[in-house]
Amino acid sequence: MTTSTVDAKEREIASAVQLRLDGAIRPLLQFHGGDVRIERITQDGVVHLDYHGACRGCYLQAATHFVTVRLRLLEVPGVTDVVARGVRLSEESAGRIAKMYVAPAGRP
Amino acid sequence: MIDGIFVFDNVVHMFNASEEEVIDADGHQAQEHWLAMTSAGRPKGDNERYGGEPSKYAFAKEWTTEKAWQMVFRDSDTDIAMAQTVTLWDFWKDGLSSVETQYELHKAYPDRVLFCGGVDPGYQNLEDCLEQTEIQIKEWGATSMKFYNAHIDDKTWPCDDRELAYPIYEKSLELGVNLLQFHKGVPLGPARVEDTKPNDLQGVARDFREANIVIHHLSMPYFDETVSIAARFPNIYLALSGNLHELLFAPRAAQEFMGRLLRDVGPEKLLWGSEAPVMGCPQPVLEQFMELEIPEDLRRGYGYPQITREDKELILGKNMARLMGLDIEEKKQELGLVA
Repeated sequence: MTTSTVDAKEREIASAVQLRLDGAIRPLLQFHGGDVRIERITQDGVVHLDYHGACRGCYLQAATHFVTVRLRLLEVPGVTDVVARGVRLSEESAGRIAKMYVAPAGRP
Repeated sequence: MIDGIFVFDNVVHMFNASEEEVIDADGHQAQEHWLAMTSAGRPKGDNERYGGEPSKYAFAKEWTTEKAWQMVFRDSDTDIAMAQTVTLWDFWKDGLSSVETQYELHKAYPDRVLFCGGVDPGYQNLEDCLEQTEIQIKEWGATSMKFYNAHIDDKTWPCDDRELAYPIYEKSLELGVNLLQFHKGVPLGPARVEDTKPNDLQGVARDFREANIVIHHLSMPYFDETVSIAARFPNIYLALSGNLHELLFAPRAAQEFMGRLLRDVGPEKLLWGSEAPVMGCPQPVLEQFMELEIPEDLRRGYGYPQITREDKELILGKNMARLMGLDIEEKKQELGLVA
């Protein structure tokens, strides 16, 4: 792929992620006084998020991220993973959640 | 350095707990409590090694700068430390760790020791507090200020008091000192535990966004409140002053609170503090901290993440260095720690 093709693909993913956030996710967070923004999206499709507002410091932030946000963003073609600043859960717990909420086929 | 990691100790105290310092019955209650508590938390053998006897009374004395240097720098991997004032004039004539003796330690070892001043509007009128703040910062080089707001005899003052406290914070900031530190939790002697709650620092954090606020001792027993506050306010940090000594005698407890802090607060906000020489030589605690892992049952049951080497680097020195605007690599060169 050429550089321009890669850039176009990244922009397409970013646009689709933002659309998903704005449509399906941010309203849920804003209802509780929280919000989320995209920090960056890497070339290999890892979305880096930053929760703010009431999400910051909320004891359910990890649950919201892994259950509500991450799985919905993994449905966006090209997204390979979703991580968030300040959200840190053990691998064991993240894996348990992933098993309970079946991720889209072919995704971690 | 310990295993190549720079160690910046947030809190050491040049303390004087000799019998002559103790003020009446309340002071003796506080002294007995403090001696017992700190003796129980010290590494085995430190009472004899540094105090000359095995009992808790080994540390009921005045420390010299030379003795403090030996314990902190000769006998441990600590690279630099901050000497913090204690203003507990309720129980000790000089407050336990006077402004003057912290400054003396800084003056004796200026390349290794930073000076943290202190004033107390519970005991000093506001004008004196402001004057002292100016002297300690401008003339004695204080780079931080420490506050003890919980007292006996109705001298407790709210940290978010706009009349009593805010002018002191404003003066500190005006003079270029933006690191404001607060003893929370761990009431001494007959002081009321509820007066040590960290809740009043929420207003301070909100009203002084340009300040960095450090809560000490995880405000034990108000740990949950402290986690909530530190997680929500970007400018609040937690000094693990004395808390990590639980690795010596209650390692499970240390694993639990560290796991919770890593999950809910984040390693960027945690500061290593030894409370030496009060709590003995830092070295055994540093070594235990380097060995610390969050066990599988806590990871499975609570989602606590595993602690990493990067986390330990942040906690042991990088976070405090960032708050103080200190370049670690430059300091290493200055101290001859690198070839």
